[in-house]
Amino acid sequence: MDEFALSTSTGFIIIALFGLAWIGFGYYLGRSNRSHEDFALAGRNVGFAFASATAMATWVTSNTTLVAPELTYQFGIWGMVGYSFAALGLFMFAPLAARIRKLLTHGYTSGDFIRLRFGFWAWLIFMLISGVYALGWLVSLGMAGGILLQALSGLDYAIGMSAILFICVLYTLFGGLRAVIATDFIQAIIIITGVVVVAVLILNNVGVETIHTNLSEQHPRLLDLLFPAAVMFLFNNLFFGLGEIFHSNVWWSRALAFKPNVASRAFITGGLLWLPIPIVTGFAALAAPQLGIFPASPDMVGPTVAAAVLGSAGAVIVFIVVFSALASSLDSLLAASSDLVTRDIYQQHINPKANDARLFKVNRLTIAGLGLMTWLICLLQLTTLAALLNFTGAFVASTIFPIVVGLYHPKLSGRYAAIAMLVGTCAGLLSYFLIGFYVAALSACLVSAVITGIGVWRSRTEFDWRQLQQS
Amino acid sequence: MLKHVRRLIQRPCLHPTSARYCLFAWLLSLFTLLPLSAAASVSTGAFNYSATVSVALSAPERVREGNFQLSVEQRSEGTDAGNHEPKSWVIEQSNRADFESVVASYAPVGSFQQLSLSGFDDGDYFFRARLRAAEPAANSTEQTFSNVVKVEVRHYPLWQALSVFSVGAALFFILCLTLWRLQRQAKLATQ
Repeated sequence: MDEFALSTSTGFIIIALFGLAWIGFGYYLGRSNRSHEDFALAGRNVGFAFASATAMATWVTSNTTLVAPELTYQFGIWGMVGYSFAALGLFMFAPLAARIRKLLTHGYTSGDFIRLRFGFWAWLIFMLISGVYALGWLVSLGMAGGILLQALSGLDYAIGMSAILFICVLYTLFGGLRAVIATDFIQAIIIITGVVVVAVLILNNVGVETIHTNLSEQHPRLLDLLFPAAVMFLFNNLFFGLGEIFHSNVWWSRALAFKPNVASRAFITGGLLWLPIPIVTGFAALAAPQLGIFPASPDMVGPTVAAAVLGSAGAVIVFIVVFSALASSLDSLLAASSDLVTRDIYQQHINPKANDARLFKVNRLTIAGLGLMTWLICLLQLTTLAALLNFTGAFVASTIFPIVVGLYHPKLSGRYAAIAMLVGTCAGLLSYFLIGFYVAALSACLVSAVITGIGVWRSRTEFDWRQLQQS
Repeated sequence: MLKHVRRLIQRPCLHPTSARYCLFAWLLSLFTLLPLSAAASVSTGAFNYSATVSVALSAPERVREGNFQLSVEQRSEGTDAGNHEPKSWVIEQSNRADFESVVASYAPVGSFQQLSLSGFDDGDYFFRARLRAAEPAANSTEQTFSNVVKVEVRHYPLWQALSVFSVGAALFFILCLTLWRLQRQAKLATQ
């Protein structure tokens, strides 16, 4: 495969047109934001359709569109099936979302909960974990944008990455969470339609039987259900996904923004809509060897295969789908991370008397600053997408048990929650460097679970849930 | 421009005049980035034949997941070496270091200088890069090959993988049980 599916200028024109559409839409929606609460939590009044769409679209990200094919290309069948297990994160967050909505009636962020429930030290560790994760995810999304454009059109990585970041920062800056959720709704429709079209076209163009024959002869491990690294990766990916959703303010801000009786149903519906997407995107990677496609980096395999099978028109569809997926996650993460910085760091520790207008301004400055920092790190392109994302798995998986137990059980103290997150993260990082990325999240979660269990068992105090109303 | 940005950030909500700013920012980004895109597009133009090109291949020596990346580096010597455009190439695979027979060949995507392979079973694999001439002479047998690299694939033992899998399954079961019990207790408490 010697040529790129799209010309460089076509790729750039699509980006420019979509950029104009999203920025204009963000500006239009931003006009109705009257207060910081409107900007950060969309007035806490998001209905079922928008809630389900944003849950699904936010979870369809560079992970699903680029990393699912990457892991399938590396780990075969289990890479594809294992990736779809991440839908369990949305299903299992459904009851937690209802509980969060009930406990934090005036809360803004996941940091609010950790600070009030577990105290300063646990909050500090949690914020560090959240910071590493948010930055890792932001960088992976920026990188994915650059990789996508490069794989499909040959456009230089740095330019594609800069354009996508610029567009997402600008419309999030204008519209806040309201714009993020509204664009997510449209992006969800584009993603679902595009993925169905691509799946049908790939199945029509490349037969399952020919793919199977080629893989059996040339790349047998990709079909092996006892592929050791893939077997190790399976539950690691599950815990990574759970850690991402359970701790991240992206999901907490949605739980708080949805109408009270909507949160639980919306996350389950979002999970059901998301479940088949990594199977479809991953399947494309299995066709790569049969088509003679051997990408420079495994994270390019998905869009390259789709473009090769479907031609230029298909490449345009893939381009729009992946661009929508990236934008829907990037805007959510920018909005949620800036809320966390504004609310948990600026308002709580720097300027407690800040008025609404001041918070508004800080929130926007944070969005712009995060965008700039992400851009600088993305320029370095240090590693592949999967390796970068799974590095953050060592951090986020350590928060699963402290959050689940902390939301329901009054006996878990702040000291044990802090130790569980800190030691869990260290264990995850050790595993990451000594064994491999496919055990980092699992080790972090295991160690953190043991410490959380000991904390509940040894605790002599009980938390008063009314303290959470201080938020 | 700075005034516009400052006003934008300070406003509690945007006014219609900001539409001009949106349009302005978008047009500015388009005009500044568009020429760059043309300059940055990867060229696959004609090769320069007045320079002699050599090729070096690199790969990891030992891998445990059955996937790896091969990187090609092209060097040119001669009068026009500075204007050298990368030649297209293919990777050849053999079971022996002397390449008695080539069992598979892999071409890169576009003009990338790396190539990722996956799904390899335990074993030793030998690779070399071969440069492809744009217009090979009909009777020419001259070909440019890289050095030969050996990649040793040794997967983790299955018992180790299944142990990790079992720990993961047990932990997931405990998490589900914990969540179910806590949720049930919370429901009973509110009733």
